[in-house]
Amino acid sequence: MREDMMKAIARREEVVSGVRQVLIEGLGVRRAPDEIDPDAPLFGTGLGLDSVDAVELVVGLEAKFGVHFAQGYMHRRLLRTVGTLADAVIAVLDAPRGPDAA
Amino acid sequence: MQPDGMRAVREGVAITRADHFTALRLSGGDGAWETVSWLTSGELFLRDGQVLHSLWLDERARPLADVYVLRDDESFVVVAESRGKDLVAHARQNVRGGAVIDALGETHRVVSLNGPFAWELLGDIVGPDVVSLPYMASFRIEGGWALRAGKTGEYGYDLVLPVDRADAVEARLRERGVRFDLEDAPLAVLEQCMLENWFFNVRREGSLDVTPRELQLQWRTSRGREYLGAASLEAQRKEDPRQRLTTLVPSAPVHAGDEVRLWGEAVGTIANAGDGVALALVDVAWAHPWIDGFAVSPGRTPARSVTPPLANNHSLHVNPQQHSYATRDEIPFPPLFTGLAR
Amino acid sequence: MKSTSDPAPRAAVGITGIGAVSSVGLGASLLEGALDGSLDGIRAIERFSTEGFQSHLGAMVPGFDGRGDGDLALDFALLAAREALAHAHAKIDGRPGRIGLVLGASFGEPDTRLARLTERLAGALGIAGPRVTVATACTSSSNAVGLGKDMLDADAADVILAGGTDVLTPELFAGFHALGVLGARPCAPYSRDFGTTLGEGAGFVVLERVPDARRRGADVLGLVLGYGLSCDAYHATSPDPTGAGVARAIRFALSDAGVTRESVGYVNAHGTGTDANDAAEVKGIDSALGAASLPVSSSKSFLGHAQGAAGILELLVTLLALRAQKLPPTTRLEGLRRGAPADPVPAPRAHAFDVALTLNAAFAGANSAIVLGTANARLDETSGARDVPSRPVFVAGLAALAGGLTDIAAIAGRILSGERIERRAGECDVSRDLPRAEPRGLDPSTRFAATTSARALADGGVAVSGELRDRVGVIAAATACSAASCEEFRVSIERRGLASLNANAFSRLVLNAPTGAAARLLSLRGPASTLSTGRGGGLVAVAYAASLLCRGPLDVMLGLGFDEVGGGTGDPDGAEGAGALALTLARGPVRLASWVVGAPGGAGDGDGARATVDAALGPRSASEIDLVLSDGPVPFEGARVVDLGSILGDAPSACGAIACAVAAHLVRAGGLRRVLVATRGGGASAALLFESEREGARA
Repeated sequence: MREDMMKAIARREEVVSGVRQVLIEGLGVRRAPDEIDPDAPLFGTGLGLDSVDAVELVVGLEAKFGVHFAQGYMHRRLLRTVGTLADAVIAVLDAPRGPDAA
Repeated sequence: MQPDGMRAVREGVAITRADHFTALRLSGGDGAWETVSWLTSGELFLRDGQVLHSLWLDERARPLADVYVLRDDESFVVVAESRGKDLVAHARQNVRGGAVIDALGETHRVVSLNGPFAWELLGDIVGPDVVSLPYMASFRIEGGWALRAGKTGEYGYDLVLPVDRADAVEARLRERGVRFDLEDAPLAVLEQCMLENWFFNVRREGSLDVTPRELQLQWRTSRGREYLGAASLEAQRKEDPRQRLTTLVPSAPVHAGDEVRLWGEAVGTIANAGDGVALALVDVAWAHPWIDGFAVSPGRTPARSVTPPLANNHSLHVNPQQHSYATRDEIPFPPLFTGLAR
Repeated sequence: MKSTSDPAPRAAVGITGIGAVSSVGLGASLLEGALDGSLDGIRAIERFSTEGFQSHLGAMVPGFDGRGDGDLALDFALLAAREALAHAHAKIDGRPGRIGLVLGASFGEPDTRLARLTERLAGALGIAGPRVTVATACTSSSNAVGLGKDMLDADAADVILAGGTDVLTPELFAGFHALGVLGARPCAPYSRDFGTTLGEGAGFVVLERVPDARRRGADVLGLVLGYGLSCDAYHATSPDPTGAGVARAIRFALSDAGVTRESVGYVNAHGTGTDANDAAEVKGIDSALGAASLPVSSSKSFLGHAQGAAGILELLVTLLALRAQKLPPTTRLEGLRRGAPADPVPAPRAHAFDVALTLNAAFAGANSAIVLGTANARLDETSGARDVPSRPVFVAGLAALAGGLTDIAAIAGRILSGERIERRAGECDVSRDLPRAEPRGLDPSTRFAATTSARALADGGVAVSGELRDRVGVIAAATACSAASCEEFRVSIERRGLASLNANAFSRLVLNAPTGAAARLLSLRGPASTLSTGRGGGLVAVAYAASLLCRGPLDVMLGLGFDEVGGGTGDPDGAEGAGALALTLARGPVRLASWVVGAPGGAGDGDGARATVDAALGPRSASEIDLVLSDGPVPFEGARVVDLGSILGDAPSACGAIACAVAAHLVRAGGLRRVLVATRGGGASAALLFESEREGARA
């Protein structure tokens, strides 16, 4: 069980790292990766993204992780932090035909 | 059974006499800019009427205050929560360029509205412009300022009002508030909401001996410019942080200071505990969400880590262009808390 | 545009011909159908595939669905222009140098020089007078009409063909889609469904001074009484939610037209149907006009959003409404949304009114308001004529950027010695000139425009704060959209496809984007616009800025020109840089003694340029000029002429502005009495005379 946990953590770190890269390279966030806290807000405050960035963010994540988010899936609730984005990406990676991704 | 005021914050609108805020104003041309830039850790790229949520740190980069900095043309208004430090004295000790610092505590009072329909109640009093006010922005009102901010995850407005108008405004809010089922929300309720919605509390986790790196507040700090605490923060960057603030959902009440263990090893400490949720400083190797095996001493209370914020706030599903409190039952709100042991 | 030495009231400017190509068909008369609410130009897009998008609707010009080539903008413009000229019975052949063209064009091909479209149109029509392109996205063609009136006021021409053209391309469709503004259902302003529907088309009005029109027996269809521009200085794509920018434009327009707010009988709003635009715009209208139940309707519900042509098409609808004394409705009204106008004109109806407003708003925060009036015989020939007092204009501050140099003395030294200047502008450090500005997402054109503007203001000791922000504006000349942004945009389409392109880069593909960004960073909320005339554009921008400053109520106007190198323009000697002047009415050591814009010098003949230079000299002889700085060769004998073009390289918009900065510097610090800056064009010739104030007062 501990091993499973460590695998899950390692995998999550990879996804978080990928999300950070999308923010830095795709959205021009001027921060080093380790400065982007996993639970820092992305929009309105925090990293200061705006509504125009939201589209770019979703597109960037799709390209980075090779996933597709169904229309309307990426509700504001999921776009709040790197952590919530990582959750969303992992959910789609793990269950591409699950109800959320439909 | 929710505490008084909680339902209003989560579902309607609540009012609070925000005496826990300190307000001050810095004016005097470039000096105001230089002073506020020195005191504040964040990037002050502010348009007139814009608000920055940031920190005032001490020389060791520990938080002194959780601040809103609002730009009002060429002067700055700071609305802050501190952990006891006299912020006006602190600002005066650090004044630059001949800036003038006005303590607004004698002349102004802060009244806050929080809730998914806070915009509607406020709009009924001050006019429809408030609906178009974006998050982290402000406008002048009644000789003071209205900031759209809030630390509850719902629509929130902090009104900094001159004392001779504050009573009248509050009276109008309460009178109009009857049809909104307005309740008073005490500080304890606001603090519970801060905990559930991942808003930094300078009096709780902010009073531990840690920096923005552990607190996940690096987004409030600038790189490559000078401000109080920057040098220390920069020096500390030479090493990786050892712990990180993590959100836990314990299955029974826990308390600040309790030890957190994972598979028998001590991995952290509770920093801030509330009803059904706690923040803990956890060793970075384990500071991740969705770990099920935490145990909090002394009762070995099981806890799992989660991704904050906990609440699927009603405000996310309210559109001021279309909705209103009177017809709130028609809005298909999802459950406030999902998938958690609550 | 011209300095006013003649204090006599100007003649009113009237519309003598109209032409239109729109989603409801070819011909302006079809727009009259708009007045009875029977038109609907919105339908499924057939010219290109909309697979993968959430919206499939457009307001396309019928009959052109099979056309995929790039000349539609020109074709639409030609059809509409010919109709307007024929309608006005305007004889081109007689005096082609006295007929000018002001074309509003919005996005166009990102890599190309927008002024080329205007040149091709002028060539096809035989127009040889001054040609100016206004490229401010969705306010382009309304701004163009206003500028056209200015040019008649300044006697730069006798007839001005003003209007705009635009085409809905797959890239534009995808760009707006990425921004989330396209609705799945047809555009329904003020109704329950949010979202806009993009369209296309072209429209023109023939403008003439009323006495001239009457003299040749032409019908005056209506009057352009005045206009106003403003900048939100808020955000690249979202409008100021309080509508304050719209209110400022309206107030400027009413003041320019000399009419009271009570006299306005109808407003044709920009009304795109989006959440962000409509509510804010109505707030602005209410704030500026205050009339509780003023009829306000949006024509986009049947014309769609014709982008660069929106301004002119909606102006034409407004003109036709005035003539018919009938209000055009907002069609498709269903379930009035919060914040809708009190009277959105749900159905067409008769209405008695003499004055109407037509409003437009655009990316980069540009707002325009045009005041139209009936050609009422009771109004005398000076109705709407500006009584512009003769006001001296001074140079408060100046700045330039060229070849990595920002020190104006160094730049001036190189120019005078003929030493070649590096074609690249070098590192442009935003944090030094704009320490309080967020540097993220600023392309090179924006950095050039913003830092040079900031330095010109700083040089002039102008601190823009408080109420002053409403009275400082900027007019810029630019040549093409930022090459870096175009590249970013193109790459995102190549890599990710149209449905996933980079929306941020798209928002920068407007010639006015750097100007608007500079205005936002510097809090400039007065008039903002960007024009292009090819070579010499910088001079025309400074002249336009000076004219606006004189009309007021403004304190400072920036005249700016910038160029960025790279991308597909392919000019072998392309150069980049910027120049800016901060002009003011407050007395200072350097006076802008005169400024003239006129017909360009034709191939081989410098007639237009010569007349312009002569007009700028006025009563002075050539021997009283110490130095002439030019953008390209100019006809001038009697003083040293330095052609900056050969020293700076090919920078059509920046060169003239840099020349003006150098000229003002030489007068201020170099001991010269008078420096003339001139160009034969490009699309227009221009000449500006900088004079030392120590010379003494003169009329």
